[in-house]
Amino acid sequence: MMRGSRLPAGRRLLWLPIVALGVLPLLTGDPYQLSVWTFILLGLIVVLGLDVLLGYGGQLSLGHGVFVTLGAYSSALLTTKLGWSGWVAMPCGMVVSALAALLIGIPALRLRGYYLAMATLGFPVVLDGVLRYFSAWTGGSSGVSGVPRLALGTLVLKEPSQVYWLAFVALCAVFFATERLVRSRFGLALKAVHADEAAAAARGIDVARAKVLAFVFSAVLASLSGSLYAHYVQFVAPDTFGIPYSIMLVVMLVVGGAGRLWGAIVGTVAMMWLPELLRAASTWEPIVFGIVLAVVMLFAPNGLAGLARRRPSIVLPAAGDAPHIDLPRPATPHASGLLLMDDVSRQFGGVRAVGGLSYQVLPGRVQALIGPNGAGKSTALALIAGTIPPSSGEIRFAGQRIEQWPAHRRARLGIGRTFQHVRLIPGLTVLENVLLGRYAAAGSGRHDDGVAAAAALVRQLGLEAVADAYPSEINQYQARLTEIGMALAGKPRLLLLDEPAAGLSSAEVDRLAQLLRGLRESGVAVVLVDHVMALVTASAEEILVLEYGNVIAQGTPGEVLRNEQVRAAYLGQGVPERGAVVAEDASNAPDAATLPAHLPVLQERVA
Amino acid sequence: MDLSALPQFVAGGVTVGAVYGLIGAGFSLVFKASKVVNFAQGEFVVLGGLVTYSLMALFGAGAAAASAAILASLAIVVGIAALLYVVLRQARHGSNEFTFVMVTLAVAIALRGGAGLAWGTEFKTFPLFPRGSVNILGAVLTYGALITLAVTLLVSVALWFGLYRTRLGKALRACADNPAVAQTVGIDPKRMVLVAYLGSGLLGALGGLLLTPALMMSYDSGVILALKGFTAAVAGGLANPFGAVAGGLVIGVIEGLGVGAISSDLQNAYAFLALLFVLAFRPQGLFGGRQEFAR
Repeated sequence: MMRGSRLPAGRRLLWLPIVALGVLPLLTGDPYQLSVWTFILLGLIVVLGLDVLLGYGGQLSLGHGVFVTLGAYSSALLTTKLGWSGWVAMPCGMVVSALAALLIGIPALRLRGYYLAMATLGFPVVLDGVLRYFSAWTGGSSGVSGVPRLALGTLVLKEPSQVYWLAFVALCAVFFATERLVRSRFGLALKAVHADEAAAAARGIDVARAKVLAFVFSAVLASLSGSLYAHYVQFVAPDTFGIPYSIMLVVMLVVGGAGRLWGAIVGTVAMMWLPELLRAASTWEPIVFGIVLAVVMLFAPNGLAGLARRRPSIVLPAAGDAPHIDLPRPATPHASGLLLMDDVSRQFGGVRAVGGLSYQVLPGRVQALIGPNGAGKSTALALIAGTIPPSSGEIRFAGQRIEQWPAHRRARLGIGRTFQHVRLIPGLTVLENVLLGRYAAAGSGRHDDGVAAAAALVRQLGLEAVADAYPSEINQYQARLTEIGMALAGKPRLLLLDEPAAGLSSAEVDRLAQLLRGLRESGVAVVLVDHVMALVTASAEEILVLEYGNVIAQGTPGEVLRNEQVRAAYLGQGVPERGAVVAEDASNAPDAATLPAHLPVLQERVA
Repeated sequence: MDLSALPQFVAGGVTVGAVYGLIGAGFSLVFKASKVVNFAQGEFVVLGGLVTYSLMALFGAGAAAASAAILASLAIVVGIAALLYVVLRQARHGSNEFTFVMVTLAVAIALRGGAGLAWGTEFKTFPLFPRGSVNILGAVLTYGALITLAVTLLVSVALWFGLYRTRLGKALRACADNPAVAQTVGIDPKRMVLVAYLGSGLLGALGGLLLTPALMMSYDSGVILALKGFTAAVAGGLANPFGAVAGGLVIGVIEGLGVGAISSDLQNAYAFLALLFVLAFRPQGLFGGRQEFAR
């Protein structure tokens, strides 16, 4: 539970427009004005849900009006045909909408891209047709009229101000829920899914499930709005919430700024007020509307709210109350290794990226995987992390067969990873990114403890100065550390690091080596892929050398570096035995032209 | 239900499906070149019909006047497509595809509003095709329907020739596959996107021209027509213009059969329900490569 005192000022400010909406009707007694504002509030309820789906989850629904229609018709039909109370019909409508969203969402959200948009675009047309076809029950194209008003006990809510207050209370509840949701673990997960599905899965997030849940949530809110509409207007027709309405929802959201709750508020109020401002020239309304949308999209692609720098939803709490971090999970004894790969292969078309790899990783050790470019190192890590399934072979982790598990399940089992090219979530601060990493440590308790633990980790990594900065605002070393922090936050038993030293200075490489040695002591197993030999020799106890997908050597750093075959394949012959020394000091390095072609790090340094 | 009427529904479905296919090919062309779904495609269709209607009234009767009206309206709609492209070019650096999609939606809303102002809300039509019909397998096909099918076939062949047998087409396909690489061999991706928009304008206008004499056109017909065209394009594999034409024919027939066999209440729903089946079992579309679908 987030206590009020912990709420950053920005979060409290967010309630300001909501309160303003509540006060406004007190200033005007005009029933017409009140009805306009009631419709704005009802629209806002839908748009807030859509913001969770599109702004946070990145999934576009172009037919969201169907859920409003489902809510409105559920309320209208259950009350007029069966004589149910509106208060009972309303949750029924929400259940119907949630089921419909599951039905649509589960197949449509398995895939990336515009899939949901394509699948939802025609729904208003389909539902419209269905409502007309079953006219005996639904009233066909003439709709349902005579929907009773809602009542509180004996008080029938029929005055415009009463209906307004009802809508306002509903909006407050919805806003409270939505604001909590986007700030929660789940909200972070949604942002991650939006930005980078593979990176999200690596943190233990079930991507498809997160998208479906967001869709269901938005559908339930839409349904609530529809029910309130039906009881207010007392009439509903098949095309009330058709394609134009559905498109308008998206327009209002993107004009205001998707991904920000106050963007949804600004967009909805502005775009729903526009017709009132243009009443004198109502025929020009669509043209003005189109121009406004075009101008906003062209000059402020993130909407009006996007013009302001995003405020972190969670800021680094003051030091002092940082709890002890329990990094590794309780170590379970394994007869053999923590990770066991047995004859694992992966083909890409005709290319055998990894061929018959058998590999064992022991807890509390740093094991390096090296080899020339294209040797299959990253593929090997991807096979362990579950980004790609193996073509054949067996992978066991902590005694469980995992080769068919999706990436997010493996992350939850205790496999953390970083990517060759840092994959942080751009919309999250350093602290929030690290907090997101805790997702993998499933059931890791209360959100606040999570924040405190993430903050402690951020401090431990020396990132407190940039804790509230966004990934675009930090340097490569800080980004690498943040990504390692993300992985560590998931309390991994095995940490896979893909070229963490690439692009770092030698001083930074030293600090990284120190960090890895520290991890080893805490019992975490580390598999390190890197070309920077300074890091490998300084931290690894064992080196496995791959070439063209096959193991060519395995042993201690000393053994491996003396191995003739390794030197031929990887280090190039005629290079001093400790290539790492050369790598560390660029000023002594020979010209790029004389360097062995297989040592990219040397070339990088000289270039 | 009267089974003997089915061939007639199929024939009607094929004819209207051909037009959906043309509209869908316009979607495909733009999507292929720029990964953007052009919401204004339906407006190209509406304007193709309504502009021709007005120009025909203006130019007077006679084959020469009608031809002039047709050519002029095609040119006007292609000009509007070019204008849309110019608007899109104003986007800030760093805009993503979603931004562009929203801008096309904005232009669509404005064009629809403008059409409402200029032509009012009534349906318009004009005579274009010679009267008469032939009987094929129990279905009566008007000359208009035959001409529509012939034009669609011709356009498909021209599109194929243009994309696969001309330098411009090859450049456009290269750009669709990888704009960065295409640029290194001297292709200007922006120009290719312009070409795609011009092409989609022409395809849309042709669709409007063929549809209006048979089914009439109003300022807001674009929403449903775009939906059908888009359905055709998605069913065919979105980035594949020929798939779109084929997809259009398929959904046209499904729609015709649905109306004939079940009910016309659901007329606009059949195509979409069919699309859902396609998406559930073959997400890349009937004729699309998987790669082209994935973002």
